[in-house]
Amino acid sequence: MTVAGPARPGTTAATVAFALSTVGVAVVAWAYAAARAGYGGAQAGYGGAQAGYWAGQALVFLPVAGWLLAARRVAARPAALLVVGLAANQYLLKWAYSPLEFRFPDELQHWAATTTLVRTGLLFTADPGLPAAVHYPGLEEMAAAVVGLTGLPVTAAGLVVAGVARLVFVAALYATVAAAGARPRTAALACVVYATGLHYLFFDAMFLYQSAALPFLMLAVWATRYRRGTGVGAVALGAVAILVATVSHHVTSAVLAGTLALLAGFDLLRRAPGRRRTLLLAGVAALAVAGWVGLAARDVLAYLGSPARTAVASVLALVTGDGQAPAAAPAGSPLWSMAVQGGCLLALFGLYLAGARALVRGRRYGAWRCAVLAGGLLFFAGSALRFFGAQGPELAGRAATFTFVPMSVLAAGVLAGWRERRRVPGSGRRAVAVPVLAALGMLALLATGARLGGWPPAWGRLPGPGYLVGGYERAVDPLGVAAARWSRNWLGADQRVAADLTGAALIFSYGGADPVASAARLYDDLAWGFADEEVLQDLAVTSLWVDLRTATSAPADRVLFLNDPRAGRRDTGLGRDRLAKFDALADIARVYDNGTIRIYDMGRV
Amino acid sequence: MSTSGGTRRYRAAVPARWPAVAAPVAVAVVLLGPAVPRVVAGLALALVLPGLALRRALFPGRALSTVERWLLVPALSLATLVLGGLALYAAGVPLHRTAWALLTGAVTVAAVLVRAGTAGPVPPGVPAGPGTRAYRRPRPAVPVSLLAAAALLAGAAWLSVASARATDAAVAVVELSVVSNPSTVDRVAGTRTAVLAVGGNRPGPYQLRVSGPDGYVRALAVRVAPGGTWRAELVVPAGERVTAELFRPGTAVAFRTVYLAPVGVAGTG
Repeated sequence: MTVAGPARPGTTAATVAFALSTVGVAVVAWAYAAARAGYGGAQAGYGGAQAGYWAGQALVFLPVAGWLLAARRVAARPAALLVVGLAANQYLLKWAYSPLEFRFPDELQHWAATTTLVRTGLLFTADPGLPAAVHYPGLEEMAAAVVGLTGLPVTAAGLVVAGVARLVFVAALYATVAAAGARPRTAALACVVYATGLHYLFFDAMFLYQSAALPFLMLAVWATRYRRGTGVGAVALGAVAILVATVSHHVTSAVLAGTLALLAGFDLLRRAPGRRRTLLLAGVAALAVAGWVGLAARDVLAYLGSPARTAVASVLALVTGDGQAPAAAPAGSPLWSMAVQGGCLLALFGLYLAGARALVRGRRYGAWRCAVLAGGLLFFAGSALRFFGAQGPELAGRAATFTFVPMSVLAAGVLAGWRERRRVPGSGRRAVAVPVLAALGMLALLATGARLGGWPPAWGRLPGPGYLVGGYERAVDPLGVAAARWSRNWLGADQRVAADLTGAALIFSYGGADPVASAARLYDDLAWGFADEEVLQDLAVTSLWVDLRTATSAPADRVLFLNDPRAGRRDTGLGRDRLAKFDALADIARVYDNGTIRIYDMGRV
Repeated sequence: MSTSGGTRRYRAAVPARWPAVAAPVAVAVVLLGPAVPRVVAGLALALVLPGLALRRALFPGRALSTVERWLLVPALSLATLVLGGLALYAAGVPLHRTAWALLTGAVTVAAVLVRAGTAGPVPPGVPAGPGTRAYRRPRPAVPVSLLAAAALLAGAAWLSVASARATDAAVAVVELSVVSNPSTVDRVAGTRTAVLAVGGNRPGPYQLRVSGPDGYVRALAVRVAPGGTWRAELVVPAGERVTAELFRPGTAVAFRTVYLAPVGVAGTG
């Protein structure tokens, strides 16, 4: 039934699939609300909230995937609208987790930077919270413009910008795969498979500078595959997309330059139509990225160099036999969860092999297919990073944001191929039930693995009940926000405040102060000593943020400070004595107390 | 038939130029209008109008699929904000409301003018599209399932916001603070001025007790206005620690405590 006019063929079923998907959003929203209702320690309904979360996640994802796999004919428009609808629904899942404010530390940093831009009207303002982001102001410009033009608060503008960026990215992914010659079903399935990426649901949808750059990476790739018209518009659009990505995020712009170089290489090798355009855009990207880093953002080399060196050293150490043991499972990840994630990797590898086999058997060595196959290999190389060093899992997740794109395209081609090719033995009819169910099962496995291994981790999957020490989004509550706001109003912004992980994020964003990352010793020492005074002086600490909850509870992620020498080994709280030692100092002033968070003025110590 | 290859010329129909009219109106609303229309006009300028005009300038006719047409509108609008903002900044223009409004409005009008000035033969293989006379937009159908989906999403959004607000409101925040500006220290009298404040989301009433050396004690009744902060300035001893404690009515144990460190005054070193 429709309100006006007849529906296009296939549209009604697609809209029903979308409506079912929105039921999932409502169920997850209920699960989040039920989990929050346990705030204060009551656990009633928490089990139901967990069940609701998983049921809702399945409802959001599976109807869309199921329709794309099962529909006899998938037209371009409903397919595109459906995957964009899925992206919108999944963005709402992220928003519903914390609908009133940003809570993830990086989001708070960009919120603060946007607030500064709105207030001053100036770009490239020093940012002690995230110095590397100073020379990549794309996200802040987008959000500040929305604030300036609409009068909305920064949080609302940030949610709008991040949401629009997410939808544009998914639409661009669909358009790119379709422009490369895939059918609508395959293009849409590529988006669905990509939605099972580790960081897709939360991290890549956050108000972060990477989120602003990602859609423009995909648009630049689309510009190389666009084959209609004269191509002048596509070149112009590609150049614009490259420039926006270049000034928005360092890693994304570097990956874009690499991707375009890869595509240009295969286009030239296979003498693909439009290869000059690809080569031109690859040159523009290389020049833009090198120029921006060389002229404006030199500090990013040091910022990215440290984790890169750590990863390389870990790999080398393991190869030479001097390596540390592979990274332990993240806190709260049971063995079965790791087994599911391992199963996902195996399933993806199986799809990769199937895709490679189809390419070789069919002798379909088109430039796009070869590039996708090469990109897929990078996905597995990136996934192996998780086993190297303490930062391995995070680096693997970050890399998957990019390398999972070609893997998704390849997997979608294989899954759609199952649907199209399998026939009932002895007849010409297609047997769709088995391949559709198999493909749906595989997608369900991938989605489950992403929820188990992606962000937020098991301990933060629901937004309640209550506060979690070191729990990132779960550690931001009204008490911390009130303390940070008090600091800004009463102490001013020229403070250097030692704090735990959450306190540092709050004192920088809401407090406007400079968080001190390396002052863990002040908290870890059982008694105050000369070494602590040295730390205080060396780091020019003016104030101390003390959250009493860190005394009794171990941090959720076993990390309590930005630079934590005991990262991964904090299995207990700090202990009351370690926090009470500050009160015994004669020259210290406790200037703020809200019963949970205390702020000490260290100026006279 | 809507196209005849590369020989037939087409002109932009009136609807293709509407962004050039809408943009100045939106700029006026953003700069002068009331709050709600400003949100609508501002979102149009930030996310729709520049991208729509640029897309039509870059890809005339119907050279794009449906999804490409839709995605380029917000994408090019966001690109306008990023690259235009950088250009304005390089020109020394602060990025405030007027700058953003004029930037997006000017880009929209300029793109429409460029499009109008370069309208030529339909490129080969490019059928008529929005903005050409031969094009007739089909009437969209809205299935009931989409209306149900919209209602569900609205319900989920309401539930999320209400739940998060209730959770935040359930956290009792009662803040006690004390600060003293070093410039208020009277070294001869051995005193300084302390500013005490009580804030939070629980109005009280409370009792505040300030104590110091030599039997210095002051007791004050505190009631915090909803959403406000109670403040008091006291002249207190400077040479020793001065402690302020907040009590709930009828209790003897302080539930918030702050204190000032001693400062050097005559006789105390």
